[in-house]
Amino acid sequence: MDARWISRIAWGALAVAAIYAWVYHRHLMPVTSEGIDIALFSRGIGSPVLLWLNGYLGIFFNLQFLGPVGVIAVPLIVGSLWKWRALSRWQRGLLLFMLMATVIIGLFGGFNYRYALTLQPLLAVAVMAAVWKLMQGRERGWYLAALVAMSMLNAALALEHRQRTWRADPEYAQKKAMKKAFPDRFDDGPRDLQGMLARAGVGERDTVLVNNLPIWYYRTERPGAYYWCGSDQLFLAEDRPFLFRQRDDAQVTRYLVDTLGCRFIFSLDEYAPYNERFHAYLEEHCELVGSDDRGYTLHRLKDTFGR
Amino acid sequence: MKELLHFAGLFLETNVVFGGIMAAFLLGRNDRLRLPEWPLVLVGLALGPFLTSLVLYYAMALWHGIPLTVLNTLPMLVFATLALFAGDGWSRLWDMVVGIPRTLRDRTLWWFLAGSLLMLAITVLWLALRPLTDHDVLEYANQGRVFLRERAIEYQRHHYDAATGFHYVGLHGFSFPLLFTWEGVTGSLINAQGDLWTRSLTMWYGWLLVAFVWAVSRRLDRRVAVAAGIVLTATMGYFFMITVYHLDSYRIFFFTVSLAAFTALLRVPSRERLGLFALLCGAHAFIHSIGAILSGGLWMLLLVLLPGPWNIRLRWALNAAGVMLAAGAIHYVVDVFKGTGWILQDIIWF
Repeated sequence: MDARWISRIAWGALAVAAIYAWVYHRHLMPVTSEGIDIALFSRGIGSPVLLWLNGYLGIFFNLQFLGPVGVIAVPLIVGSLWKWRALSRWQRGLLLFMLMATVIIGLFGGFNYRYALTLQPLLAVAVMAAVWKLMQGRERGWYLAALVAMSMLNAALALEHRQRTWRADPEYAQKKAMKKAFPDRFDDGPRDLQGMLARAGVGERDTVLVNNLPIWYYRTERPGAYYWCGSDQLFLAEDRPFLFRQRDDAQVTRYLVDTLGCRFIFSLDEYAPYNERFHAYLEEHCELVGSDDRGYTLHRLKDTFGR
Repeated sequence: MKELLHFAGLFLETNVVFGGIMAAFLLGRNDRLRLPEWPLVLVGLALGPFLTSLVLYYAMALWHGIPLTVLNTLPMLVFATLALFAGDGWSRLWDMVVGIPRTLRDRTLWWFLAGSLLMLAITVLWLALRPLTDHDVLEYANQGRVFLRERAIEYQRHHYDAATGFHYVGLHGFSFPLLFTWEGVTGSLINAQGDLWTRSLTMWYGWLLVAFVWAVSRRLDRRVAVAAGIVLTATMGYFFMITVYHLDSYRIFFFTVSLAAFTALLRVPSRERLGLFALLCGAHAFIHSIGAILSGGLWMLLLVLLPGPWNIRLRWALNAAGVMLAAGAIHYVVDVFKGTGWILQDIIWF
C-alpha cells in the first residue's frame, strides 16, 4: 500500500479514537445505575451498546479500563487480513491468535474487563511496531507522541467519568463528609471482626451464615456456611442448593437453624441491592447485633433459641 | 518485625535467587535459543515463584501429608540442581548485571527508572496500609491455607473444607493459591504468619510486565519503548492490576511471554524454542483457566503453522503438549476426570 495511504489511515484511526473516547466517556457511559441492573452497571455493560463495546468487543473498545491502542489496532487487523498473502508465518500466527483470543475472551469473559486487559501488552507492542515499520522519518515520532497524548487524555476522561459517577451517588456527600483517616482509605475489611463476634456472643463453634465474604475464613478459624445472596446459593459439601427459592421465610428460618445450624448471618451493606428478599429477611426476621462503619453487619435470627 | 524479615527473606529466596537461577539457566541455553537477553532474564525472574508453586503442587499431590521440612527443602533442591546445569549462563548473567550502570547512560532509560520508582512507592504504601480484603484474592488465599494445613492436594467434586465450611469456587490451576501456601511453609520456620510476599507479587509481576514490553519494544527503538511503556500503563485497568491484589499481573505476564515465545518459535523453529514456548504456556495454564484455553489455541495454531510435513509437526506438537502438561496443565485433565469437571461441569450439571 502507498505510504501516503498508510499515513492517512493511521492518523484517521487516531482521530476516530479521540472522538470515540469523548463520546464514550461523556455520553455512552452512564453515571448512575438508575433503571439498570446493578451487576451490569458495575461492569459497564448496562445497555445493548455497552454490552458490545465493553463486553464482547471490550478488548478494543473498553476505554473505561483500557487504552486507545485497541481502537487503533482495528484497522491494523483489518489491513493485515487484507494483506494476508504478504504476511510471514509468524505474522499470520499472531493475527489468527488475535482473532481467536478476541472470540474466546469476548464470549467467555466479556463481562469482565480484567480478561480484556490480557491482550493490552500485545496490542501496545503490535501497534508500536506497526507504526515504526510502516511510517517513515519524523512522522513516526510525531505519531508516537500523539498516541501517548491520546492515552493520557483517555485516562483523564476515564477518571473524570469516575468522579461524576461518585458525585451522582446519593450517599456521596455523606461519605465525603465522613472524611476517612488516611490509612482507612486503603483498608476496607471489617474493623474488628473478633471483637464484633465476642460482643454479639457468638461462640467459637457457632456456625455463621457467611454472605460471600471470604475474609471470614481468612481472619477467623470459626465455622461458616458459605452463601451468596446474588445467586441465592449455598456452597455446601456436596451441593450448591438455593436458600430462598421455593421456601417461605418460616421455612428459611427452619432450614438455617435445623439443617445448617446457623443462628447468625455475617454480611455487607453493599450487597443489599443484589437480593432484596435476603435483605428484607434480615430486616424482618433478624436483629442487628454487630456492625461497623465499613458496612459489615452481623445479624442474629430472632426467637430461635427455644428450638 | 518478624513478618517483615520473613518477607525480605522470601523475596530474596524466591524472586531473586530462584528467579536468578532460572535466568542463568535460560541464558546458558541461549546459544541455541538465540533470543534477546534482557527479555529472557525477565522470563527467568518470573519463573522463580512459578516453578516453586509447581514443585509444591507435585509434592502435595503425590505425597499427602508431606512434612513441612520436606516442603521447605524440595524447591531448594530443585533450583540448586538447575543452578548446576546453568553452565556459562552465570557468567552471561553477571556480565549483564555489571553492565547495568553503563546502559543507564541512555536517558530514555530514566523514564523506565522513574516509572519503576513510582511503582516501588506504590508497592511500599500498599503493602504497609492495604491488607488482603478483596473477594477473589481471599478465595485463593483461603485455598492456599487449606493446602498448607492439609499439606495435600486432592481432587474432589467440590473444593469444600469440612473444618471451616469454606468452599473454594475457583476452577483454575492451583499455582496462585500455592504461592500463599509457600509463604506459609517458609513462615512456619520462624513462626511468621503474614501475607506480605504474596501481596507483593501483584506489583512484582506488574513491573515485570512493563519491563518485558519495554525490553521488547526497545529492540525497535528507544522512543518506541518509552511510548509503549506509557501507553500500557496509562490506563485504569493497569492501575487496578497493580493495586488490587489479584493474580492478573501474574497471569497476563505469562500470557504475554508465551505469545512472544510463540512468535519466536514460528520465526526460527528449534527444539529449545519449542521447549520454552511449552513451558510458558503450561505456566499460563496452571495459573488460570483462560490460560489453559488460550494456550490450547496457541498449541493448535502451532500444529497448523509450523513448517514441514505433518508427521514432523505432529511430533513437535505432541512434545509441546507433554511439556505443557508437565508444567501444570495436567491439573485440568485430572480436574475433568477426578475433580470438579472444570468448565465442562456447567454443560453437565446445569
